[in-house]
Amino acid sequence: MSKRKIASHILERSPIIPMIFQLKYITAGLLLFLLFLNSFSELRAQKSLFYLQQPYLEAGIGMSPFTNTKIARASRNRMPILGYLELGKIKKRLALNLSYSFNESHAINNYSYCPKYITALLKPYFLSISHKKSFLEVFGLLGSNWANTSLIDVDNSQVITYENKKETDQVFGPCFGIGIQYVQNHLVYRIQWLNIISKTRFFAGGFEKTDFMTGSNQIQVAIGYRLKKQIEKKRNEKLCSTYQ
Amino acid sequence: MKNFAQPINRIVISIFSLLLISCSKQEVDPINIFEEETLDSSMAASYELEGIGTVYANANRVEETENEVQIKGSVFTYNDMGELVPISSGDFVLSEKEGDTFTSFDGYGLGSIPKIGVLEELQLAIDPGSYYSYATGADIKTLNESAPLQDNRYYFDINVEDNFAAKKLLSIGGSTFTFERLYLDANDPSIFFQGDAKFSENIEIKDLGIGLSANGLLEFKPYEYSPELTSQIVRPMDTMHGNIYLTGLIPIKKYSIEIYGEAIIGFVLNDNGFKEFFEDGFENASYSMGVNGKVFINNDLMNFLPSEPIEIGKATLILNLEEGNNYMQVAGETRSSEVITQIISENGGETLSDILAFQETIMESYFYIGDDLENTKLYFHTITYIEIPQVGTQELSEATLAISAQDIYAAGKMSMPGVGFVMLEGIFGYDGQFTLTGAAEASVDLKVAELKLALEFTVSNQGVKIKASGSGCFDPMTNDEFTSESLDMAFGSRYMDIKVSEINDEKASGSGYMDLRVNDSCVTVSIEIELDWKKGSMKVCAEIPGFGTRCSTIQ
Repeated sequence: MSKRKIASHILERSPIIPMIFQLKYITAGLLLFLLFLNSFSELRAQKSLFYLQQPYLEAGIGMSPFTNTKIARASRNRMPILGYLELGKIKKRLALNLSYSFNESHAINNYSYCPKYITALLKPYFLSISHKKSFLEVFGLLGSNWANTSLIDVDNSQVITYENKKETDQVFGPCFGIGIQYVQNHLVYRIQWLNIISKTRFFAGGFEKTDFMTGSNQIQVAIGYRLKKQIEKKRNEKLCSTYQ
Repeated sequence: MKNFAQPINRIVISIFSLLLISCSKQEVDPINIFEEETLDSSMAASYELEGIGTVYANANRVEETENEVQIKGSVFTYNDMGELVPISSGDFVLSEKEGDTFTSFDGYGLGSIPKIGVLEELQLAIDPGSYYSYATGADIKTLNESAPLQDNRYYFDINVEDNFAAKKLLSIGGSTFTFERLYLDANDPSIFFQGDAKFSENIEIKDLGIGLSANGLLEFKPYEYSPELTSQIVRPMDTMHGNIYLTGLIPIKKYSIEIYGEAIIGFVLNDNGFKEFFEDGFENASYSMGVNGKVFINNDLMNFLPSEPIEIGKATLILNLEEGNNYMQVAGETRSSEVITQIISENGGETLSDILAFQETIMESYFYIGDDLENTKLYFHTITYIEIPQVGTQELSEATLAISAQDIYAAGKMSMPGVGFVMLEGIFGYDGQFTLTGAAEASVDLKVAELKLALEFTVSNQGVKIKASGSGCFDPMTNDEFTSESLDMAFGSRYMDIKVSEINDEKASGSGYMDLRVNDSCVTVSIEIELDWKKGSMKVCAEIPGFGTRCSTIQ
């Protein structure tokens, strides 16, 4: 059975949907994994063109004007700010993206939790439409995050040195996303939806530590600048000299 | 078309996957353990705490182990009036269980004051984060001697976080207080705290202690005085208990003097004494009051004083205004030995303090007036002692000591054997050198002659030296007057210069010669003098040519 048929089968069989919600992380991960397998198989097919592709290093900054926490009744205090580095090849189907997100803060009861994330993402391109030297590309994001999260009692400002005034926890978790970017020469304009999953543990006024789903859904907007290596031009010059 | 459909499928599947993950939310409810709760009697957990009684907390905020109980929330107890009092809210541990009773209470919570009775008058700007423990009054006094706490009662020791100690935390009317430590008797209820107070722009009191007790359980101990003064006291100055306690150090910045005082006010007649006091002041209230006061100076005032503050006097006032039992008594004392010793040690070192060992200089006074005016009493008592080298301790009455940066001027009357009180005065240098001089007259009847002596006493580092000049007549019938004033002025011969042969704390004795001119002829008279410090007598013996040795003892 092809991968596409498996996905279709899952979607069409309505009785299995509740089970999917129960196993949502496994299911979603599996689906994305299949997509990546597909991308890698196509890469192999394009291997002969590999050397013609132009490598780039992209650096950018952005923010998340829409950030939705996974904790009920929590409200956002501050939006995340992010910076990223991306390594890839133009017209290639996969890139590597590293980003750091900070400044995020959410309030719940008398507490504020402030996560900071470092994400390492594989970025497969699903669709690329080019016009002259510009590209409109649709991509996915799959990888892991390292979350450094703190839970702070902010309502009781007179409490300072209490040992659990500020709790911190660090944890690895997965993250997924999808986005669209417009590349114009060196500049990249990007909007992406990133789902960060992290499960930290805090006392939060209790006697035992309890799980907190401190990840979030973020719609990030970013602008980047690409440094491209001019190997295509050198290659063409070399080919021209050969034919001459 | 196939090439275009494939990526579209991927996008759709990806979005679907993300929706699966992101569409649900987690229900968590972090607890604010510092928020004051209401005790739910249907689910209250209770524990016995030694000295406090039963303490309560909501059961869902309690975790029990074999020997400990942890409470994350509000802790309550009942006071002596049967009211439920919240002690604090925070994270606390009851431990050291003996039977069913816990003997230790520690933790971190908000340093709140129960809003009960007079304590409602207090307004905390914030409930500061504080470390809690609990101990008996006796234990707390080992750290804070001035705390007006009863030895056998238990108090919560609330140690405010350093970060808040400098803030204006508490106000009563227009006065503000900052404090670092608070003691809470939850059963009374009463509080005591120490810190700095500001009553207006110009009036500040350092280290002010304030205690407020609903049932008048704060303790005040009057100063202790000498047995002589204590024997004069009409009403015994015993430990008092009251509702309001104040103690503080009032700096007078202009002169760098500090006045330390403590006062207790107890409302003796009615339960509304507190309210009357705060509404009408002292005018109409029935109350008892005890006040202790001390005055301190240091080298900020005069540079030759020690750097550490020294006490120069103390006094106690006891006032009782109660129908049928009105009285006031005041006792005071200045005890200068400590002051002088410190000044001498500071400036002259051990040398001077060994030589000039002022043992005691005390001035005491006492005043009493009551309903029965016949008992009114006014009492003064002054004693000064001086330690004279070789002679020992001698009482110095009507003493005057004037201390300056260069030296110490001293004057006073000292009893001299045979001549009574002699006024001595002189200077003590900080280098250890001192000289006190005084003069007196004595009349010696030697039977064959009556000798009038003009004596000059010198008390110095070398001990006591006595010089005398004499005049008189051998035989009153012959009118053969003699005088030493016509003698040559040669040093050592003009005066009878007593060479001291023996001196100790009982007696001094010596001998010398006096040249007398009688009818233009010179006669040398040998004289021996013995001073008895204990008996206060002087014995004079003279060997007169033609008459032999004649002696006389004068008191």
